[in-house]
Amino acid sequence: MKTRIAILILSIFCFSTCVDPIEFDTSSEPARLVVEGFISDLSAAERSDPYAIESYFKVKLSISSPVSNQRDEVVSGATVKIVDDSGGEIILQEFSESGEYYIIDQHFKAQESREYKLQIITNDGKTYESLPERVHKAKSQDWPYYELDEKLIIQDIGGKKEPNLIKGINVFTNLPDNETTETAYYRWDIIPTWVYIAPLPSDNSPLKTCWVTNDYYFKDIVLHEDNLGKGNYPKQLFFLPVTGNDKLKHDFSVLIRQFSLSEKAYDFWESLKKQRESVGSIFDPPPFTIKGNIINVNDPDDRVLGYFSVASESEKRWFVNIHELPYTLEESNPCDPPPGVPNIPTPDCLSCFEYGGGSTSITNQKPPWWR
Amino acid sequence: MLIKRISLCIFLTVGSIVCIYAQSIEEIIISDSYQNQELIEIFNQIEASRPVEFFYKKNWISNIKISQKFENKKLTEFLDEILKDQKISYIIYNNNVVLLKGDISPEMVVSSSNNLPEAANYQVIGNALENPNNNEVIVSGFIKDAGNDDELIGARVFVEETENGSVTNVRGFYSVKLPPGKYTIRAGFTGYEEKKLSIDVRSNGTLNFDLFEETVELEEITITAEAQDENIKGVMAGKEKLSIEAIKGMPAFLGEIDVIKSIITLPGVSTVGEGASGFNVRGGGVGQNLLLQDDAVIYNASHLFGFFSSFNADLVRDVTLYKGGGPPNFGGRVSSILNVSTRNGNQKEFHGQGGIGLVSSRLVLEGPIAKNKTSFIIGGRSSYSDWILKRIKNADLQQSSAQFYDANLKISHNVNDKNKLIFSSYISNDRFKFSADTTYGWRTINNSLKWSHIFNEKLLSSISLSHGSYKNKTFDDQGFDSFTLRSSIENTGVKVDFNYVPLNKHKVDFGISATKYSFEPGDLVAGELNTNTDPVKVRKEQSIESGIYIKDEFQVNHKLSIMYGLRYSLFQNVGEGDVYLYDPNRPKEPTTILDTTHYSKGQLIKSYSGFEPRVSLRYAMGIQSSLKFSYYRTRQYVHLISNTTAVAPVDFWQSSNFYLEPQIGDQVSIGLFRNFKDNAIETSVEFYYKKIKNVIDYKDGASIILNETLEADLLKGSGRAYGVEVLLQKNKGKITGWLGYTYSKSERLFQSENEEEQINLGKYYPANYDKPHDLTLVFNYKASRRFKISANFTYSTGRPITVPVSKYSYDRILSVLNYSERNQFRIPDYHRLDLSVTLSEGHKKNKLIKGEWVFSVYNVYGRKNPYSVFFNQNGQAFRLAVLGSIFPSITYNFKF
Repeated sequence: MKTRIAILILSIFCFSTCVDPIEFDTSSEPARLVVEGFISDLSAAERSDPYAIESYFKVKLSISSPVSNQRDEVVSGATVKIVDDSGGEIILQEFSESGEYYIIDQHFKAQESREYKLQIITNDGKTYESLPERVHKAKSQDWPYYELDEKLIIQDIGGKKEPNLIKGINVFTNLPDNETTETAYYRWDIIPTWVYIAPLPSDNSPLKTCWVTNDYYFKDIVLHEDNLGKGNYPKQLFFLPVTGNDKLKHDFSVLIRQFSLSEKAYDFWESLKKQRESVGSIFDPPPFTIKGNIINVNDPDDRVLGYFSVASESEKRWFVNIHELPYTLEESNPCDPPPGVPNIPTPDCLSCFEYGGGSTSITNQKPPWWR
Repeated sequence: MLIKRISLCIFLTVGSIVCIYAQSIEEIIISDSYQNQELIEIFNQIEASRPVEFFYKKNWISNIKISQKFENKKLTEFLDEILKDQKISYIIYNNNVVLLKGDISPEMVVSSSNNLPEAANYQVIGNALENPNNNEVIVSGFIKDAGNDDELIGARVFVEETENGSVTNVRGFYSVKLPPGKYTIRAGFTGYEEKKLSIDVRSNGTLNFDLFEETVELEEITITAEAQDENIKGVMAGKEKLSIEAIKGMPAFLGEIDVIKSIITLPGVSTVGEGASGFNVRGGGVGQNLLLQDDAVIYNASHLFGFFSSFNADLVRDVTLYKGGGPPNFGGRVSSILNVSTRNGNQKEFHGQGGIGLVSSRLVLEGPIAKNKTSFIIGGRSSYSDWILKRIKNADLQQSSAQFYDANLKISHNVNDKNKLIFSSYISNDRFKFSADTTYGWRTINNSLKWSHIFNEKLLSSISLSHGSYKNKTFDDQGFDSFTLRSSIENTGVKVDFNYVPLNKHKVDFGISATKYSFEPGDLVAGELNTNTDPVKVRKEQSIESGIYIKDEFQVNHKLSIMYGLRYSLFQNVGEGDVYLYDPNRPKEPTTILDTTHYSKGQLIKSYSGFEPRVSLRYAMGIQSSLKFSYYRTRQYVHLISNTTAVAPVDFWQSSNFYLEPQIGDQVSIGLFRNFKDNAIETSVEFYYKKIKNVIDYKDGASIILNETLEADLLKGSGRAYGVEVLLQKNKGKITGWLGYTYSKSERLFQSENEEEQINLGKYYPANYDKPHDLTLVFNYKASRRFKISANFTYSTGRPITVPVSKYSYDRILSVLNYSERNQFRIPDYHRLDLSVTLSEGHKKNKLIKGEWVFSVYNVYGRKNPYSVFFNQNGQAFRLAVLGSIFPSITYNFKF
């Protein structure tokens, strides 16, 4: 009897979960000015690549966009300057209506004794200003270094989750000495560049060797709070898997930029990190607005997004090559024709520009800093 | 028998007699002399010659012989004289003389002159010899369920003549003060047939009532509890009572009868969303409700994250909700008190009942251990809901599993007439494994022992000891990420209550209580294979909460009743523990800790105390309407820490301590109640305004789990809520039900000199559960004795939400979401219609098992109400509707 009922119920029972897009009318919310500004005590001239445009300090202005896939619009034609507490000022030059304003002085750097403010006057006459920021000097010595490590990674193999022990490298920094009693706040930018050699072109072909950069390879925002206020201890920055990582096959480098930040700048980055890590479930803490340090001088209701920070910076270019490691890993060449099967090579076998492993820029010009 | 015959005769004859005999009884003159003549014979002679008839039972007067001479005596004078020493009285009814056995007061005759008392055999209470001076006396006793001897709490006793009444206390005991005399006394209780008795009160005495449950054969089924006019006559403002019959009458989700879901249909009570656990009363949070089951506190009454509640409906007798503080014998939560009382076991026979549903099955057994002395009731419920999850088209959910069970045991023992012992035990357990990894579990275990003692009819007492624990556990017991995270709250308490009735118009309750709490806010341990996780143990806390109260219910006159009382509560947070001292000039943060103070075991860390006045008064405006006013202050010392909208299984309870101050709620309400058509229709309008001090909220981005410096992430603010609740209810007839509408606002204010410690720039913003419009329609149609249809419609404004209003790219982050200020938007409105049909099997008298089938359909038109709203990386919004389609279900309930 009971089974019969169960069958009956099953046949009429429809249990479904559904996800639908919904819309909130946010049209009354004005678009906001977004400011991304940064200077440090490391001038462009002191960097590993002093002539690259990325080495110059810049301030980027844009307008927030509605929640969509839309790209943010840039804010062009503004007057942007950085002023210090001794009355000195430096005017930034916009690079071809890109909304990116550069300090073209290659030797400019933030001075430890000064407080800096960012001032913006947009071409519709609105004046914005940042709160003052200053350098919290902290530079690392003898860094980075690495340690061989093994890590269990849960991998999805054929729909089944299985732990897999992989070899890899832990990369550390040595936190700067901190003689003050105050907490020190750090953030790191980790951007890898590696060599990709397409197997099929001849050795002198321009399509043979490329240098691939992927800004998003290390997705995590890496932050650290040195509460003890002493410094001089190791902090792990990232784990680089070696097993199965074809990026390490030829030569692999990482540009590590270490920033010592103000407490407020650190809070800003920590908020960004929290927002990225929140998955939006009902058990997540409520989301919140990330507060920056820029205000409209005449209209406090015109909230500005973003942050102008002044950091103490250390920069290192670090290389690792799989052949330098004390072990050898099985190599495979995906472009080798499998025996007995007609082979049509994939584009990345024919040209290094067709590298398929993810990149933000590819060049066949060897960077000047490459070893 | 005779009485019946008399009534019948009168009924048949009166109509004609009155018209025929114009001559009045007053005009009948007796002039005769009798010599040892039988009274019956005399009456016959009079009847033959005069326009009057006598009604009597022969054996009352068959031995009465008269030897007397009468001259020009009126009939009444004649009767007075001959019946003088015979313990026989009479009344004149439509020109007839009705003889009655026993004395009858002159008032009685007058009041009955146009209405023959149908039950004229008076039950004599006491003995006139014990009360020679005719002093006021007390009539008291128990009101019980005639079926199982269960005491009925809140049953009403009403004396028609003096218009005073009383309500049974928690032990089913009542008392009324009366001058000696004859009265008609009524006793009634929701779901029970009213009983009317004629009493002749001579001295202090006992009068017990056994009430029978209203059978299905009756036309009328009462929906709300209490006497039919309790809404008008009760003095407590903001009190709502639901009988289990009403709860069972509502269509239930997947056929699971749910106490909490029924409460949500009342005006002023809402929930944040589908499947959300807990409920919100008058703009208060879920953690501001005190849930009691037989005096034991329940911290989390939800099964399966709140899709079901953990009360077993087959054991519940009734449910009372006090919106606001309630009477001063309750304390500890600022929003409401929900008091669930369970039944006592049948003292006479073995019985059982249960149900088989889609999600769970339940069984209750009860019976005497020693007949009329000791009884037990034991009940349990267990789920088999895994298969439902398997049917959800979601890979994660298909790998999930959910189990729950709950069980109650209650043993009651009547030591003697004056002493009674009740032992109750309750366990509720949940386990929810989400997506093959993390398991959420929570468990309540409560035990209590209560001894009730009656000193005399004026003074009763009860002492109860209770121990309760609520533990939750989140764990992953396999693999390299394995961990266990626990938190718990435990309480051990003693409570002594007295009920004292010094004078007829006063009912005084007083008592003391003390509870010891121990809190374990969080403890994380890594699993065997997990080398990545460091154990974290947030320090335990201990506290003692004590209270003392006195309250008087005073019936000033027929129009005005007042309940006034005072509670004094004291809360002590004691060691062992550490208190961090923060830099007073900066916002509290782990980095601004200057020092740590250590307190040894038992050492006082911080204490809080205060008075909690409670006043509620009722002013009657005619029999059918009244005006009620109330003011309640309550203090809450334990706090539910949750920064999610819905209560999550990882939420935990925290003690007031060095930093966390008690919440203080003040509520004022005023309401107008009016009944129509002999209480068949009840209407009410109630306004309230509430202010809560020391409400907590969290700093932007605060994480509450395993936070060792939680005080640094908590913000202290205030809340205000106000609204109007309108209720239209029909209690009698084939169609019953109610329509409730609430308009309310609930707002929070967090101001501070530090911008970081403000919320929404220090302006009022809507609380997470602010839902201005809330409408509920409950409809029951009883087509026949065996066939009943119920419907339930609910509509409410969507709850507030914080949404991304724009996005921007920053550095290497492609999309940073820019959120609105807190709670500035709302999720889509919530509405839903449920239907159910109940088919009872024929009521054959000797059938062993009585069964009924309940077919119900939840969410009839498949409204996709959001369970949660989330955003993708670009900030686009999506709603997840877990119950976004129509859910039919079938349940079989039985009783034997």
